[in-house]
Amino acid sequence: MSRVALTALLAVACAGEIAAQAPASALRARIDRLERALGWAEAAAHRIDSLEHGQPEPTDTLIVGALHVLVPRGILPQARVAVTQSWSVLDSAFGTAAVRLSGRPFDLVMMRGSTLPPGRRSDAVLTTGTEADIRQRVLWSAAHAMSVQSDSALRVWMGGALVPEHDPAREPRAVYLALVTAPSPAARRCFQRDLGACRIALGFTPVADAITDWYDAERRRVIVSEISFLEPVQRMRGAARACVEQRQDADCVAVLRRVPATAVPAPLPASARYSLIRHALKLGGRDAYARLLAAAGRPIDQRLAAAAGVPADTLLRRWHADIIAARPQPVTVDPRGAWMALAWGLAFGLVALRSSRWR
Amino acid sequence: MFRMILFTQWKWARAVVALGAVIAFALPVLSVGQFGREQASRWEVQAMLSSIQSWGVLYPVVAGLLALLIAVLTWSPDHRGRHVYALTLPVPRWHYVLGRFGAGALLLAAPVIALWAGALIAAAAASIPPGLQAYPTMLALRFSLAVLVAYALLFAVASATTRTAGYVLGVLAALILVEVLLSVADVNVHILGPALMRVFLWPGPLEIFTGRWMLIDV
Repeated sequence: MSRVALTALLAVACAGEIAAQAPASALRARIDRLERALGWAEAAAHRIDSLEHGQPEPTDTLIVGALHVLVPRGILPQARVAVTQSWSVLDSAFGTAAVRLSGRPFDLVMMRGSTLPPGRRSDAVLTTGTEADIRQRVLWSAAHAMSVQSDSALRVWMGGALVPEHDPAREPRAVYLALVTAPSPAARRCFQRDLGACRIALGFTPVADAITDWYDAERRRVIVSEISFLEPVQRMRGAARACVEQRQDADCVAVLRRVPATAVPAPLPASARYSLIRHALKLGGRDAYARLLAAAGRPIDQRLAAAAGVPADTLLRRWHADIIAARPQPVTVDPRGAWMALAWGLAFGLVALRSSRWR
Repeated sequence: MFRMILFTQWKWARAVVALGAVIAFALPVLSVGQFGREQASRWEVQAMLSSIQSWGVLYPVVAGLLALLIAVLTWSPDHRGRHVYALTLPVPRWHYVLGRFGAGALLLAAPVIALWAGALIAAAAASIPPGLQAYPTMLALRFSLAVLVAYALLFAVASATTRTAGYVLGVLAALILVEVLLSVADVNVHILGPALMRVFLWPGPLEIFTGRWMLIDV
């Protein structure tokens, strides 16, 4: 590939020189220099080739379900266990759609220091070789591969890859915290079971329409000041200044409606959207993710409803109940715990009374 | 008689009680250092909660340390005097032990009250973002129960003979040793983990020490 590029460069350079009608001797000198450069480049390419093909690392192919993983022989036993576990998690998360992974082999490469071994593909899966590490890396890579294969509307809405969770209680807890603490009127109303506000907070409506619901005037002003370096904001310098310095909210709204949607931070973290997708997949069964992908082109809430197999409002209501139920337990002393502590205190006190000192 | 026991224990332990009270008062006050902005972003709120959570680790540690020091100081003069004074008193032994226990527990009330006061002041002074709440009284109540349980446990251990204390420590050391040996022999049997679970999870004696010790939470 590099040789083709160099030859093309040479041709372009020569054509440029001819077009400039330079003297023949200067042209000859330039061609000589380019030929020398081509020679050095070819030597370097040869060295890379010999590194790639000179000491091939012996690998085996592990096939578990739709997962094809090229594994260095030295870590085959733990890789077999880890890949089997990863597939089980992926299969239960993505259901029948997980079969899409079969077209993409994962090249497991032992990590040496913090760099990729020379000559390996840049999309190789680096691992330290432990079972837990292989399991997690394969899981991430497979989730990323699933995300890449989905349509752009879903990808943009999700804002990342849907990595299966090991601890199903962690994410709803974090979303509860975000719902309670997000500085957003929509998020707060969503917390109070306003499903319309949940739709807005989860990004089902375009940012330009949602911006007044996402944040209050003060927060909009802060956001404009934070993204003032962006080119669309620079183009509206007057409005941006009126927004930040004179607190003109109409100007803040005008600026935020002109910037790219991704420049405005969503009121809820990506985990809120992931938790909703996971909820839809849980309700929809093994074909849920496949239905989500098949419904490409429809609005996101309708796609999620199709995946879950229930109306969008029902899905949102159930998701909301799930999140509210995941409220982290604050520092409380329930009567049962208090009585138990007192009982233990009393028991230890009685043990002291029965000390061998006094018998 | 209780007043005399209390007076002597106060003389022995006043430095520890005073230091414990200062630390207990300062802990909640210092933990709300980041709560200065009511209009905080999501990340700032999470940073505040993380900070509160990090400080929260110290509450059970302080409770345990205070209980340990007071329990040891309660019995050490008696151990040094070979219990001659206690044995010459014209009172039943249980009466004497109860006096010692009560006096120690009363001394521990000072750090607990200091923590409550500190938590109330910290909660009032902090700008708490909407959606979060302060739990000063609950925190103080939890702290008091943790102190009480740890004190009772350590009081019982400290009241025993050196031999009994040795047995207790020996059992703990044996558990750790067996765990290490099993691990070295690659035997997939764990003793220490389940034992600790029994102690720290409901209805274990130290269950009160677990959970979220957060002055400000959802």
